Amino acid sequence: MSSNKIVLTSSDGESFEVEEVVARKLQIVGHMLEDDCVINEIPLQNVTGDILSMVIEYCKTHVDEEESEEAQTKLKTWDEEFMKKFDIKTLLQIILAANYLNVKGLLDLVSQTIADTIKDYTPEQIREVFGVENDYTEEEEAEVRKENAWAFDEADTPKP
Amino acid sequence: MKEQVEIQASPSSLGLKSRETLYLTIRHEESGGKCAHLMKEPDESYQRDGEEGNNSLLNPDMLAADDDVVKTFLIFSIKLQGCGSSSHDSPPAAMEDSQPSPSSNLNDAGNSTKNIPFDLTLEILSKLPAKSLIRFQAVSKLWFSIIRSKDFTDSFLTRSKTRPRLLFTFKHFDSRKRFIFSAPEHDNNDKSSTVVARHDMTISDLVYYIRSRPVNGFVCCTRGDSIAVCNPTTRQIVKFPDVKSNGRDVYARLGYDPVQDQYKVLC
Repeated sequence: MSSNKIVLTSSDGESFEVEEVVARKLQIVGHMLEDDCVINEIPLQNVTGDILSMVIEYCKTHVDEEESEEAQTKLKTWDEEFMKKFDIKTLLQIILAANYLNVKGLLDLVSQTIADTIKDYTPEQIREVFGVENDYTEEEEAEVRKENAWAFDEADTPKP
Repeated sequence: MKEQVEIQASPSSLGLKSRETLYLTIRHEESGGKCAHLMKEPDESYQRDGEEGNNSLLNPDMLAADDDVVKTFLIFSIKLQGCGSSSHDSPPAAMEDSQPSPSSNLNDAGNSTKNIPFDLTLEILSKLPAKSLIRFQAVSKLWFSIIRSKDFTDSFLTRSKTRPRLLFTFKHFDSRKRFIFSAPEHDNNDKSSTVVARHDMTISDLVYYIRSRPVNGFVCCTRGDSIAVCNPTTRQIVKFPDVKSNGRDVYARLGYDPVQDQYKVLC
């Protein structure tokens, strides 16, 4: 395993020096390295420094994925604790970054975390968080809600 | 296999007064689908929790024995959501139109919420439980068409098949209701011997009997000459036209034809 250092630079100019094995967890970087082996500084245009630092933290922790059950359990616990730190807005920025940087494990983790976070949201909250425009007329929306009124009933959805 | 299933529901959520008798029906598929009708007097916790207005805990002890536990799988599906097959192909095209530039606006720095590209929205939606999905149909027409699309419901079904659930029903004679509950069959995170059953659906006409095993989450029920198929996940029930039985008993079975991707009822 190589211990080369690679510098990753965020869109807002923040630089992170990481080992090559860590940087390769970002598949976008992996592909660049395959194309040209002598790169040692990589600008990442679509991600800000604060988000990139979290992605790097994830990659560092997951750099050697051991098969043993004990190691897997430990990683899973770490993932859970790691995800607890973020609010929904940050989670959405992380999923964008994980998608752009192509970090499969983080993409799965953060999409599951987002799903768990929003599962009790109202449609209004979803629109706000996802920036979705409501294109229903008032009547149409009332109809959709009426058709599945039970799913809006919070009584049997205990809040976590 | 868990040794015990806890039924979590308050009398009020089922529309009942406390201290009423529920009849539990358990199907044992391995003995040829023979039905066992068992009766359970509500225990004290049922009444106590009813007063508190919280979820109550019924512990039907007949479920404690392994042999009695249903080997019936309830597989979640939102397929019954009633859109015609012809409409399935149009929604994806509409989605692309309304989200023309998925990740091009990633550049703006700062903490403003960026639009989530379509493939990521789909990734998140695919991890949500059915109840949330049903509610989120009201978010926008685009979300509605994603959630109702055949591709999405098919992938939902595929994922659900990896999480089989036990299905069992109670009937309550006084209010003529049948309650459908389900509980996870495997819960690897939980070391205890108990699983919690969730109230999925109430059929207001209890004389519907459930005699055959569920198919991809659909349950076929019969009542004399009348046949209905229900989907406990979406709480939908579709009644079929009555059959002319000429006084004979009607037996109905639900089946799935994978070649034509159709569900059929034989009677």
